Amino acid sequence: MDRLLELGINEFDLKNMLYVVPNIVDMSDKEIDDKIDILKYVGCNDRHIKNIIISNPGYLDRVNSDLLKLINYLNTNGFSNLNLLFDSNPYFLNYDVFEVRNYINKQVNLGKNMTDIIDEIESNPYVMDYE
Amino acid sequence: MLREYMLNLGYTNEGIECIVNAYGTSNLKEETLYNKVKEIYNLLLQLGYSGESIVKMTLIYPAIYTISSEGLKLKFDNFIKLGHNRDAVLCMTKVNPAMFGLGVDNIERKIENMQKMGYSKGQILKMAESYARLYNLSVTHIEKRFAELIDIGYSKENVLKITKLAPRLYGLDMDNIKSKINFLVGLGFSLEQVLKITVSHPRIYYLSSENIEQKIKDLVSLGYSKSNVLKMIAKMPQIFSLSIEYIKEKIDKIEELGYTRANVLHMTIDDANILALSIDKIKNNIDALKFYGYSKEDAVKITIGFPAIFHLTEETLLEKLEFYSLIMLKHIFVTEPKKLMQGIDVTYARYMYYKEIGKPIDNSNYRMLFISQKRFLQLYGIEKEDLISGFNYDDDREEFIKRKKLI
Repeated sequence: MDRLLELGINEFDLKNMLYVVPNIVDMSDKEIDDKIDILKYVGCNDRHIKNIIISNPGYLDRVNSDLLKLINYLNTNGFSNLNLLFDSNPYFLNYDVFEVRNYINKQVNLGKNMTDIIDEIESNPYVMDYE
Repeated sequence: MLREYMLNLGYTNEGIECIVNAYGTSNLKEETLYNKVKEIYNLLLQLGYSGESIVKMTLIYPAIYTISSEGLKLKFDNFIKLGHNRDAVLCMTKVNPAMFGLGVDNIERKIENMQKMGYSKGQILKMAESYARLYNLSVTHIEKRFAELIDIGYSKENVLKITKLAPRLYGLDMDNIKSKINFLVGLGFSLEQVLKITVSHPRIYYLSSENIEQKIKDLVSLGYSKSNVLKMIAKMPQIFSLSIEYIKEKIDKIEELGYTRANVLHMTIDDANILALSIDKIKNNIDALKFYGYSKEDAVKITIGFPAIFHLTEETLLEKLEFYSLIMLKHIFVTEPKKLMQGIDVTYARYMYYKEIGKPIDNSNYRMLFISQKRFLQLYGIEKEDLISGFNYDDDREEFIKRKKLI
């Protein structure tokens, strides 16, 4: 939990995070560092990281390999600036690859091309949430 | 003498029969057993167990009365040496007194083996404290269950996660696990969704199908349709850990902030995670909107249109509100709250870019701030990354605010 305080997360936000994901207290510094490193890997700065973790504490509870699979899928399918996507919608990090893939396939079946689908998601990062 | 003594300790006649005729104790002469009961009972009291607990423990595992005092004390100390604290050992052995029948070498081997599977020692100790029978399971059984969970479709990392959070998965019958998956699939989830739901909230496996059905019925009784309940579960499986009273109270409290019941249902269908937020957090973000001059009605309207606003950190929300106030566009969120989702980096960079090319943003053309990146690229030939590095909000923020405030 010290790592979270080091990020500049205040007590009010930390309390809320624990309210949503109580097992944060059981997370080791390494587990939290790994999550921070993943965000740094996609280009997030300290402001993005803090925003993502406070807004979506469930991110800390995700399995690293699932997150890396998601990032890899987004990268290989033409998404760019994942830092901005995740900062705009921190809950995007809760998706598994199959959910993004299913959404994209559905849009393809509606006649959209890949570039337009990605553009729509990047411009409206909550489009999948509010589907 | 033995019966009278044991009745005084709190055993019933049936309990005494159970102890006297159990494997191990049935071979002992009455006097020997009397001495053993006296000796072990007193030792357990000294170790910190209550009389009631000792009766329960010995009924579950009468063979405790065949262990020597030295041996029992040594085992208790060795459990502590493994890394458990005294209270944890007391709890674990109360639930699973058969632990006293296990060799510490045997437990150490199990821990080493589980470490090789990917758990840390600390995690294994915690798992055993949450599911005391873990130490009774054989290495072969644990390895087999690990492989069976992978066969179902979980990745190795996911098996590690779900068993850390729900170690009793090692003790559940595999048919029980599979039938729970089939039950969830039968409700309308895909297998991939079920795996995701259970990775996020593995304790669903502890719930009976009836409990799950009841939870869905309870949520429907609050006003959600069944299909929306399933959608909410897929988005926030932790909903199973929230009691229906808690959810009802949360809905009532959000309503009290100025929403209709239909508003609250609508917002929580779109964003079930709102139900897990504290009411203080929700109030805080509404207050932030009011601080920037929005009326209570406008704040309600904005949050209905964009419920994710409740998750924004106060800092991020204030930053966005401050920025749009400074550029005189804060009114747009009342009619188009979803515009708030665009990150400040992009909005700032575009705002400055338009200014630089002689097309300053005002009330008549603000939509240009929110056009898709594809359109922006077509119109101006600039990639998002280049634009943001040219007009970096983090670098310019202080100066920008200072300048705007002077105007």
